[in-house]
Amino acid sequence: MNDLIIQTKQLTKIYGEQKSVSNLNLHVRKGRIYGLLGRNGAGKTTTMKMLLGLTKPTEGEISIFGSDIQGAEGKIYPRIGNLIETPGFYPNLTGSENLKILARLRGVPHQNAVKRALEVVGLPYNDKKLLAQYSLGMKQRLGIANAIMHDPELLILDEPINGLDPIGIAEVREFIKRLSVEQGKTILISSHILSEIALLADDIGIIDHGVLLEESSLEMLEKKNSRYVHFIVSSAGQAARILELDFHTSHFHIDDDYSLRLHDTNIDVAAITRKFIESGIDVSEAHTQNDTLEDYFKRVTGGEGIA
Amino acid sequence: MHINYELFLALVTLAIASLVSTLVLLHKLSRNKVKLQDISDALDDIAQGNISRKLLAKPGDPFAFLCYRINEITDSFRTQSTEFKRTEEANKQLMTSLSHDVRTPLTTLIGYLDAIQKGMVKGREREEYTETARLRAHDLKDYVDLLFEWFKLNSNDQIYTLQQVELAELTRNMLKDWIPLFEVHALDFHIDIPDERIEVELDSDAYLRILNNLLQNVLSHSQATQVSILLHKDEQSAVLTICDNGVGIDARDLPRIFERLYKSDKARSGKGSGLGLAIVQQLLTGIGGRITAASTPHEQTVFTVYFPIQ
Repeated sequence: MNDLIIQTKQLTKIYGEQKSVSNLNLHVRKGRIYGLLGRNGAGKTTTMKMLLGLTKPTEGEISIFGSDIQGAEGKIYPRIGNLIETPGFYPNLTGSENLKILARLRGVPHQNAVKRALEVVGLPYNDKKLLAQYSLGMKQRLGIANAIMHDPELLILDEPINGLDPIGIAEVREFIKRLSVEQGKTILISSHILSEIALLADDIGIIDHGVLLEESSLEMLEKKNSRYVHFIVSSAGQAARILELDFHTSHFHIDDDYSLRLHDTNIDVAAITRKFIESGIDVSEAHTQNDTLEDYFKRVTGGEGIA
Repeated sequence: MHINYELFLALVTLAIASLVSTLVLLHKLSRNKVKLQDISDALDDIAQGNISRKLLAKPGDPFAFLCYRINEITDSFRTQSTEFKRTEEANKQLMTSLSHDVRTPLTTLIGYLDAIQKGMVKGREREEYTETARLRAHDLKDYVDLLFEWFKLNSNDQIYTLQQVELAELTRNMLKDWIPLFEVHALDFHIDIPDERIEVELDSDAYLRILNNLLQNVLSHSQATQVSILLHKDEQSAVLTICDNGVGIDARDLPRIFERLYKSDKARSGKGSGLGLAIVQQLLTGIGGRITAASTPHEQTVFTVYFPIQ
């Protein structure tokens, strides 16, 4: 497919005896925020490092922007911005000075790229504060500014909200979203916090012990994992009338003439089914779906769950 | 011989110097060639439709001004194109949930009418069924009206008439119509509007719709028993605050409530179009105001609207 920005095939990394990443097939679509979700040590950082050429895969292929990265590193990497672990900034220089050095090294797309990048992450331009005096949160912001300074088409961000306070987290989430919506950037982001990924990502990949357990859009996952009772009946309209009159609920959706989903899971399903049949409505299926997204993650990761 | 030797030395030096400078020049030329090839590759990519592609240049590089200029041009195209894609995406989403949001009430309505038609109910019950069906038909019409309004706002056809108005009196007048509704819903209300004049430049129709949508939201979704409507003025804005003690909005939903069609879990399956707050947001963008929301479920939910004072 043409609109895949990142695609990996059977990507594997073995450290000594340890299989850190195992046969990973990632598909990151253009213009989407892809959330790589997994506990600490699940293989998220290793995967990102392989994508960025910071560590060599033991096996497998990586293609970015539609071409194999091998031999095309020089053409591909300038188009990617990344935040992976703490970038090496000079402690005795200010944030702006640090970025200006990197701008001179790598090239930028605009005369005032440094200023613009700092504005996006909410750091002051040309102030006197040395990096040594930066808080963890400020360093993290500067790291993100560094990642976006050259206006890359693809961003790879490893746990970008680490070390931020709740307000900082909300701000970072906001501008990551803006980069995606306003500039159409493709963003691969990792986190061990389900609720964070659920707020931000369009697509989700769940990685556990180096294995990609699931890859799906958030929309699909949420649809699959909400609490409802699904009825297949001979007339959804009549069923709806009975739910309203006899069970006093309007929390349902009608999918088609025979299919109805009741979101009010506190009502006794047996009583509803009985009433339907008494009223001449055939019930061919009544199925309770009781998983939340959290339950689902617990299940796929083998019960241990993710924060 | 001695002179010849010096001449020879000079010649050698000259030869070396010219060789070095030629090499330097060649190196520069080949570097420029590589750079030009890079630019050309990137331009091919852009020509293929990848308008996010950027040309990178070090400040001071001879090609920098050219790269920066090209980037400016692609940037403006990117802005237009993402805007376009966003609208397209929103419309697609709207069509999907539209069919859903119409189908459920419509099928339910048909359920009632079918029951009447098949003679399943008689007498008073039959009349009640007819009444329910009639009300449902009205709800559907209201929904379609809202939808139309949203479409109109979203297609930028809306023209705002900004004029100087006095907000305190205007708000008092608008709230008069709401008081009977609060009473019907057994909602305790508290209104605090200062006696001073609050002169603002805005479109009063848009203001009415903003106020109405926010209050309707409280009535339809909050299950609140108290509502407060406060108006005051600070240095830059006139501030309207609507505060209730209802079920509130989960922190998880809060950032998204102004998105079109977004409904919190509680509201998702029940009534409500997911359009009311999106319309408020759209109107405020049109008249240059803004809105924030904060909520502690079952304690206090506050919508704050700011209208700039010119």
